[in-house]
Amino acid sequence: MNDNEIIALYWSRDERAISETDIKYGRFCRSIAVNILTVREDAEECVNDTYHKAWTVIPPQRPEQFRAWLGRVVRNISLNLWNRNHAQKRNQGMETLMSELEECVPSPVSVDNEIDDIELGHLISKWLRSIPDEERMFFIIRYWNGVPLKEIAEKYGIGADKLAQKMLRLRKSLRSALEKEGISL
Amino acid sequence: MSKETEKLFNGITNIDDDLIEASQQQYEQRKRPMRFMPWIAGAAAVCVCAAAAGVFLINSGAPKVGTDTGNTSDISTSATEEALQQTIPSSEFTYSPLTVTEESVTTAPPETETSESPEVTTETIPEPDTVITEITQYTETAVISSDPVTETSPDPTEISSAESTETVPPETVVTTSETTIVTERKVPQTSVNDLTYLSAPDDAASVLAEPVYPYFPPYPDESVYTDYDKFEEVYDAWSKAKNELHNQHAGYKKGTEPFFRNSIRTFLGEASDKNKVYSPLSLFMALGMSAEISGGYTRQQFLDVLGQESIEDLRAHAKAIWQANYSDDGAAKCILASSVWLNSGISYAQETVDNISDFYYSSVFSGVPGTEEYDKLLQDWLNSQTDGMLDEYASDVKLDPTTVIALASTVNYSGKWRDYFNKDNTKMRSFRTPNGYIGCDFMNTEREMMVYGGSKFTAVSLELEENGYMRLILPDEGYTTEDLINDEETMSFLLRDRLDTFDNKKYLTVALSVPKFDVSQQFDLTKGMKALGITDAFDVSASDFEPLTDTAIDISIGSATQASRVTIDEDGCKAASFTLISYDGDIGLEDLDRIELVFDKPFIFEIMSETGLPLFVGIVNDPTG
Repeated sequence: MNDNEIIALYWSRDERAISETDIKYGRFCRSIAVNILTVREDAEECVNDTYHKAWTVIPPQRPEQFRAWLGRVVRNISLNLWNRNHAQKRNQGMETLMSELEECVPSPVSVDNEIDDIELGHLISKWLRSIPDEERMFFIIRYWNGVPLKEIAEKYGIGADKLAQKMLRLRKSLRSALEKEGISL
Repeated sequence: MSKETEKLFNGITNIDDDLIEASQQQYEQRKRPMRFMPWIAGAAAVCVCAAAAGVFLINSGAPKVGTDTGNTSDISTSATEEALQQTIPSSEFTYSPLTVTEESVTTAPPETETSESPEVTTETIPEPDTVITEITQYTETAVISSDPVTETSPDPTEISSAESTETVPPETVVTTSETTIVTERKVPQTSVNDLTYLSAPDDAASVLAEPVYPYFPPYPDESVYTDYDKFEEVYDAWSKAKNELHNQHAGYKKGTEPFFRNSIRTFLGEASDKNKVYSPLSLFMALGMSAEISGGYTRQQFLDVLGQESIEDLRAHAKAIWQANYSDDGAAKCILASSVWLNSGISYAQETVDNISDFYYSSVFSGVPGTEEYDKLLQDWLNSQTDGMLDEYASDVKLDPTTVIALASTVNYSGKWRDYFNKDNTKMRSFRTPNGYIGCDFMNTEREMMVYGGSKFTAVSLELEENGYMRLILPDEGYTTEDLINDEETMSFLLRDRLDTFDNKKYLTVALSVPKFDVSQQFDLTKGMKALGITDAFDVSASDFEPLTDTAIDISIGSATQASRVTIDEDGCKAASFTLISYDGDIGLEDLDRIELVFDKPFIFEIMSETGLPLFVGIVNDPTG
């Protein structure tokens, strides 16, 4: 079933919307959640919450890119759960991801120029468009999908160390790009 | 987790949909660590280098190609990679035109150059033949020989020679135990105001110089490696070499867009029921070389048409464009070759010929225009540079006896679809030509892909593995392909190096049906060149070719032609083009989710290089040719 048909099911309040979403994007959503949370049960909970969220907001929403939309919801829900679990020292996947992302945080600037998440997303997108295709894909797969470095490296037939080095440069490049925009987080 | 990091996480969550979608597809399509391309594997494993051609000086201390590009390719410090880094050629080398080459033009492949490795030793190479070596591995050790080249051969079809009017300095030949060979020769620099003239040899046809192309490692075939680390090393080296060539400095395409826009309109914009194929890049190179041999207003007209502010800008941009589009790793191929055809009865300004050879990676030939031997040499060169794809046209190419100089440029391209068309799905269906319906094979697939909707067209872009894209543009009902060529939105689509900035696009399930086609065209460029603004070069009373020669007068363009051919099938795409300019003288989408896109009526195609320059643009009126 294509995305428009699935969304039409949500709009017509047909519960098959959820099962069709799961058939088409269940694996995709689970992989994001597992990458962030590590614990499979937690990931499953997030995916179910994602479907619930989809059911409650569609309508009135009508996502244009359903896959990206779902992925975003999974990430948000996974982050919330991770925050809840953090005190219990669970979820190693997110620990690693976040420690890497800390390197992208720009140095604080004196002017108060804090921006919202959407605007920050646009700035990061602008930076992503400035880098080569493959590097952009690596960055997104690592930090948006949360796929472990080793898995990406294996798939691309390159050494994990080499990829880590590439990622380090990318993070520095992003930090530099954000600093140039004069923003603080 | 700090508040800032969480903020960043949320920012990444909100990156643009199209970036997310494109990355998901790219990642999902990656099935294996490396893909090898069996359909062109024959060329992948072996590169042959002819040594002792002895025509270029490689300044070993000069910056390497790509080092000024600011590219961010993978950084590695392994000894092997450093060695390989040194195999990337210097961007500064000088050409000495009057030397000997060992290979007949019909058989000599482009050479690969390398700079010295730190461990080189010096010894004499007794026989030139011994340095003709297959590349099987990367440089470990090297041998340098310094011998003046004095060898001559009267037979132009096997080895050509030349008598120099200048002292030929010692030549350095660098070769390695198993791999790359490089030739060097130091020549005195000549200033612009101090032109020296060279007299070409009296042979009916001979090769004066062959270009030395940058080193491009073979595409790594994972199946031959048992040691994964070694494979990784070789892969990284391949990737690094490619990035250093392709990631040119910002602005290297500056000024070219108006030329592409105007020339595409000029050569494809008139209504016709024939297939049309035009290679903008091939013409760009030929006109660039024409600017080198001309002076005054004549040169200015070439510069204006090419959108270049000065001859220095043109040189820098032409060389960067050449490098940015160069691929020859046995898997993907894109080679812009050039050649200069001199008249042996005329003396030429050496620096002018040097500049063409240097900035356009050009071969240099000398002979007697109008003789069978020289025509054969030219035809063979055109055929060898286009893999025989244009034999039908090349075999008719002849130089007029009054030719002072001829400039040729070719494009040789082949690529494989990133997503194959399944041969089992290829079906016969009808295509509506301007003269009625014909039956032809249509390749069919259903896949999710981005569809671009213009106000007068619908288009898709098919990716060719590591070698650019083919864009297919179908006019909406009521519009012809020529309407689109003259439409600003379509032109903007054709010239856009990246489509992610095109506004009206949608990721859809597409039932795509594209005819296999084999289209070719040869056409006279003179009318179009004049329409573009090149007029002085056609008019002996106005033309200025002083930078070329002081022995011929009243030089003007005698003929200018381009032949191109593009074929596609289920595996991929092959294309070739040559441009020959001869100078004579007196001796002198909307709310859809799935669409059916059937290219069953005349449509436009474009082969866009990986770096975003139009290699070929054409109109298919009849897929069967």
